[in-house]
Amino acid sequence: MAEWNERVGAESIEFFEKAISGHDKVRSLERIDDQNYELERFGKLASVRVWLCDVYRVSAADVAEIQAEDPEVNAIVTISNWNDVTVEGKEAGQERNVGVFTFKLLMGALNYDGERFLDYRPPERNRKVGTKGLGAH
Amino acid sequence: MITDLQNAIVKWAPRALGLTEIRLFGSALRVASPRDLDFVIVYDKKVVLPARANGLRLKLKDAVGTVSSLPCDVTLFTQQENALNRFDVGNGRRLWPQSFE
Repeated sequence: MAEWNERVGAESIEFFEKAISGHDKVRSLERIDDQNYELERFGKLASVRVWLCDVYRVSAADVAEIQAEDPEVNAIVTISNWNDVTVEGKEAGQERNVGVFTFKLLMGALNYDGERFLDYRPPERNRKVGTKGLGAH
Repeated sequence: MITDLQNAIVKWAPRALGLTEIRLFGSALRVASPRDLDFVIVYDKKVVLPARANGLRLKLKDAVGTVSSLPCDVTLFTQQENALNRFDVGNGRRLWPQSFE
């Protein structure tokens, strides 16, 4: 189980870079160092500095450590599908203006700025018909 | 090995402010020669702020390092995080406080 400052595996890095580069709001992706990326986005959307990790459950302590290591970070993403963020980890990030995401949620959050970015939640889907947020009619 | 870990941890843990529990989980509980050691530290955030909790991680690694050279990964959870995630991470084996049941 990796810690917040452990380099992510090569396959995960390749996956991350390919997926982010293909996001329709991302103009460019620059790797700053082993775990840091700078994302420029199109239009008025602000740049995002991402900390990439593979922590199983990103906790409040992890968020504090990452921000102490790189105060410019405004997004933390834990890459593997089975990873997640604790409630307190998410809250600790929001208090510091840092979005804390699973990879899937980061892809959604990149469409927004501000509070909608920090607190991005996927649209609810109607499981019966697979439509967005329309309820079960 | 688990007894050695417990003995090393008990030399430090009772004096560690805010520390409420240490558990070992993962392959160290299942195989004779694990590749690494996975721990969960649970702390009381009223005593230790999350921003200061890394000190507990470092102290645990120091203690483990006296009895094992295996890489050591430590998850730090507040009591609330532990309550919500312990079944995801796995209950593991509690090393401190020791149970004498």
